Amino acid sequence: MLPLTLLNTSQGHPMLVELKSGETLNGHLVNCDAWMNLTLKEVVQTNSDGTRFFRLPECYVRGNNIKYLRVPDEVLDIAREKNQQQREEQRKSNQPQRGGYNRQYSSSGQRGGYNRNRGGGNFGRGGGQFQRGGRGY
Amino acid sequence: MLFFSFFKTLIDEQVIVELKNDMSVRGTLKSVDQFLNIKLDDVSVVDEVKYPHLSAVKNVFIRGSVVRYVHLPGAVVDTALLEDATRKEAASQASKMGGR
Amino acid sequence: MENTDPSLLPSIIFTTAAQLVDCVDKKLLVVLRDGRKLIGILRSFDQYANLVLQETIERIIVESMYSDIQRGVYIVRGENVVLVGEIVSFTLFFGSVAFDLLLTYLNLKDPEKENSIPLREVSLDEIYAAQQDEIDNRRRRELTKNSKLIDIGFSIDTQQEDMY
Repeated sequence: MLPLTLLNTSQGHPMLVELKSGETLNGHLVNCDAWMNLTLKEVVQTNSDGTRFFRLPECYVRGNNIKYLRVPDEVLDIAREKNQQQREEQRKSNQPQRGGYNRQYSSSGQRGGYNRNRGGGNFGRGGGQFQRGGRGY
Repeated sequence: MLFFSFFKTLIDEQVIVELKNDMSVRGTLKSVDQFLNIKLDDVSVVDEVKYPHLSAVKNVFIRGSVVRYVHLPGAVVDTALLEDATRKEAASQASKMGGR
Repeated sequence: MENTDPSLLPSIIFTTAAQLVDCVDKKLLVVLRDGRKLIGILRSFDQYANLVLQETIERIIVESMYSDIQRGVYIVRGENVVLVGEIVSFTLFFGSVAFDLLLTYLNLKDPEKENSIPLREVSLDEIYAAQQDEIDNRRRRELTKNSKLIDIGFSIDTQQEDMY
């Protein structure tokens, strides 16, 4: 699954975002798009030398400022599961009609469906993930 | 795409890639893409004392955007051909502009 | 890689994808523009060289000392990647921190890598202190260099972001 797909799957989960400036944002991912723009909630912002902290109820990050994101381990597993499911469904719906074009249409149709089901049960798992290893710069 | 094509002709040659941080990596050019990302095999860092972290690495993918220079063996570059291709590219570029 | 347009297949040999597919599920060293070194298993990537790394450790190296921090899953934005290096193959089978130490030791005996420098693992506190010294030194050097350059009539780029 692609990096941005994984990011999508991370919605509702806690994550750490480090910006190119070295500032970090710790919060729950609310939404994201194809440019890696993010909205986060319940955020703790840390300046680049890790000396000052700010609590923000919500914030928006323009994707181009991001250096990297750290997400909880289990998000990878969730993304894998979803990917598997999606493939299975795709395979089922493809069995009657073969051929490239139909296949593409049906796959995008399914993606919408899977997005609608996103979030849900796994909310809030894996908090405290980022305390490990101490200072985050 | 001219330089992309040019780099494709250099595949399997020994090159030194100098990065914008002054680090230089020597290796065999294995692959290049349209962003001039470069893949090298059998790499060694030119100043290993300063950059010890690459001593356990056998091949690298270098993002095109961090490359300053690629040092090439002079013998493998057909400059006449390259000049010719450059003129052609410039001409086709110019005709495209004119067509707008 | 999913939904690859079949008409693109002949040209795929020279794409970012083709260069990085060989690295998937392997243990890699990723160097970022800020100088950080991440060691993790590459799980996926895209055309911008955005990367997904699993079981990642951050390795701080200062001179011949190093220290590792367990970090977990990373999504690295491609712009910040300097290079991705595949770590010599036998680490694949034993991708543990303990084996890394052994690797450092074995490096001494690898004829092809005879000049490689053995790194010594130190505590986090030690590495942070050494790192801070290095940063301070760099800053001092930069300041002297800049003032010299200004003296002889150059203008200075104020932002020196690239530390790698």
